[in-house]
Amino acid sequence: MVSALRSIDLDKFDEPGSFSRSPSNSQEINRWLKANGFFFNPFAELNASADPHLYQYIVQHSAADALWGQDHALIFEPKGGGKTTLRVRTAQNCYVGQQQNRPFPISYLPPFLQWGDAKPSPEDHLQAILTSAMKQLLISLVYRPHWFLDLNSDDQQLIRSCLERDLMGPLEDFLVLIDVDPERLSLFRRRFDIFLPMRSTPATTQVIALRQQLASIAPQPIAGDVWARWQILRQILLSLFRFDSIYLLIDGLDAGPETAADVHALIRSCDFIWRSLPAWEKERVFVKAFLPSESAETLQAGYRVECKRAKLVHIEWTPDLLVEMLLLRIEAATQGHYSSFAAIATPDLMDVEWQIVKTASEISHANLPREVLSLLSHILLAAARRSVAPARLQYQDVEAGIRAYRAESSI
Amino acid sequence: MTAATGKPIERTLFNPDAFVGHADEKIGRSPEVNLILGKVKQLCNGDPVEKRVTVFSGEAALGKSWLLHQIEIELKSEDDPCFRRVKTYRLDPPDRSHIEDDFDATREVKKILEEFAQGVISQSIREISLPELSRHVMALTKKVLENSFLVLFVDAVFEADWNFLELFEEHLLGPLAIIPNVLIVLSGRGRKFPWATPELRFRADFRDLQPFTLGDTRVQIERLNRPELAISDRIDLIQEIGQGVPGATGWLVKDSEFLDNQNPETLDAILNHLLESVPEANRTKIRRNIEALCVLRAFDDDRVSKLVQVYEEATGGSPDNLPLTHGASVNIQKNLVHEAFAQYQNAQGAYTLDKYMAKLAEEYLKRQNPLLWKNLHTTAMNLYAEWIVKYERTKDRWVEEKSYHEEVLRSASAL
Repeated sequence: MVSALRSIDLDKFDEPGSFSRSPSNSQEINRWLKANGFFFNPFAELNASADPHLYQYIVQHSAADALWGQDHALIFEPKGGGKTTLRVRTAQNCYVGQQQNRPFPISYLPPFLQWGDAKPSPEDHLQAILTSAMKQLLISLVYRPHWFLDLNSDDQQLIRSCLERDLMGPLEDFLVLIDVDPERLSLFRRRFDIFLPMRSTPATTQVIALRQQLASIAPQPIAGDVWARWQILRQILLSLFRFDSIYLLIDGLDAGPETAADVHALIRSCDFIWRSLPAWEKERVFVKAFLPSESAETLQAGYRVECKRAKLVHIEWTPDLLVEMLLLRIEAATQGHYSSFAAIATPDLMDVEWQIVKTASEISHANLPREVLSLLSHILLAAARRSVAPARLQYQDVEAGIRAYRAESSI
Repeated sequence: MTAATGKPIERTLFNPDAFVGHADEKIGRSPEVNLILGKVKQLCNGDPVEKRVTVFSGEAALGKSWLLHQIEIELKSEDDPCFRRVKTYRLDPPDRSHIEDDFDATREVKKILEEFAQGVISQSIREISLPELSRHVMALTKKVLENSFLVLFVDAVFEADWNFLELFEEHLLGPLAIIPNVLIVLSGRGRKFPWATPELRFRADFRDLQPFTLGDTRVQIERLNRPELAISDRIDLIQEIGQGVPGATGWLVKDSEFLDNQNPETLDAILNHLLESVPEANRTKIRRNIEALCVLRAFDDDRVSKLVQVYEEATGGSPDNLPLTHGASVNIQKNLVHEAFAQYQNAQGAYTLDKYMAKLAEEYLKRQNPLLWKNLHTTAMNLYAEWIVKYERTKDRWVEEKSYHEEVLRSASAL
């Protein structure tokens, strides 16, 4: 038996799914995939930010490439089109190696529910950005403890105090979760709600040293208002840690009750951000905003000058790209043994991915990854229920899956 | 030294003098050699290099190792003011230790890092954990590279174990790929590893190595001190059978008996030579499966099941294993892919064998056991005839495949 085959992670097949409507992560599908040579279920996580294998099957890489760099970037994509995927991928790209030679990413999802409306003040934004930054910093330190341990005691004191001031709770509550035990680390990540699929586990001694060091420093009050603390954050990241820049990755703007229904409200809710673009550019803070397609016109009309300072990236999903998305997922999950369901289908299903994309598009009237993955999961469920794998995918499974997807879509 | 085991390389597959003449003479691969030399020059001049990672891929015996060796020699002979460091790794140790039960990817990557520290930054670092080791090595490397640059060669990269590659990327290759004065040259065959680092995947320069043209093969033959073959009509036979694959040409040139009699022994030797990278315990099985499937233009488990059964029955295969189960057919496919002699092709919706290997195997089979060769084609033809009736939706495809086998059999009967 070759070693690659020894690495099947059975636990991956038992991870709870995050998408309630689709049967994408059912035990039946997982069992069927495993028996057909899959090392994990690449269709289980419709929420990209929770997908630990995301980096293996990213498509739209030209867009990802375009948004990388020392510029602001405004990325417009349809709902369900994978904005979160791009954001998570961009954050991941910031963590190649253990040095600070990449930008520091701050994933910022404006907390509309906490604010109670979509009219936050600049201070509201800054406070929320500071909290996001501290979450990101703490999780970064857990995976790169030496960033903190190599600093002198004054700088450590400053960071400890900032964490205490702007995290969403006392640091002590999180320190108990900073452990080399994977379960605790997983809980720690969940508490932070910014799953950052870092692949390497830090050295045990370093993690323990970080926890002890953070616990041993008494936090001092941080003087100044939110504006002053924003400047301190910049100083910490750019001067102390020497990151070359800060990426402010803004997502979830259409998640608020008002912003979901009204693009004007959505754009207006971030007025402070758009107006800050020229100043932030000089301060090496680059906004990478992931926005719904329909907001493009409103944003450009309202902030013409500011938008000129940013790269505008419009993402469209074509059938070709959707097929590529499926093929890459299959290839990654089978460790390159095959990249199409045709390999495990009867000979009349040579073009099964095309059929799935075409049908999902016809029924949902859109070319969207979410719809394609949803239809696929119904097809896999039909196959799994028809026969215990290893068994070939058959045309009748596709038909049954389409029926179930159509019924679900009509609800 | 090999990267993964620390043992000396004794691969006969990589023998530049034997196959493509002396390494100081350029042949066939000048564009690829010049591509890398050009990038080195840009780095040397302080110009930015857009794609600092280059990936050469190609099937067995196309000269990937030779190419890297050749570039390395050229680099060492370059007379320029730049201070450069060159490091080479091969990830397919001949003893294939990475497929053994006690293979520990973490331990192997640590060995590489320790050796890298010794060879590139002249430091002896022995740390407790891999992340710590990686951190120290990369911090020192960055410092050392402030006044120099590094050219890193990694050969047989895609043949390595994926768990190993994940750690190798995380702790060495990825961090090196983002340093501006590091140039990385990778080579390998088979399924590509999905690197996480954008510089290795989306911002890399991918080049598929092609077989030698007739002109290049002629030069190769001359440099192998057989100029009489290069000017005779035998060169056409060498090119036809060897298909411009430098490794195959080298063997054909060595064996003048084959050129006289076209006996299958030489082809047998070439096939064995191409299979040297397969663990010994698995080699015969892989070889038999390749022979069984070489007549097909594409295959899946149904086709594997039929063709392997015919082959095994004809050659005295163990009856205990027959008929092949679905699982056994799937395993045959998996093993061929894992050993990088087959790849899944989206356009075909099926697997294909390494085309040069398939052609050599078919030429061998045609000479060694013509009856079996015909039987295999006939079996394929009959299977496709069944599918034309059974699978209406994809009927056109099977009509085409059936015609192909009919044509091959017709041509054979006419000879």
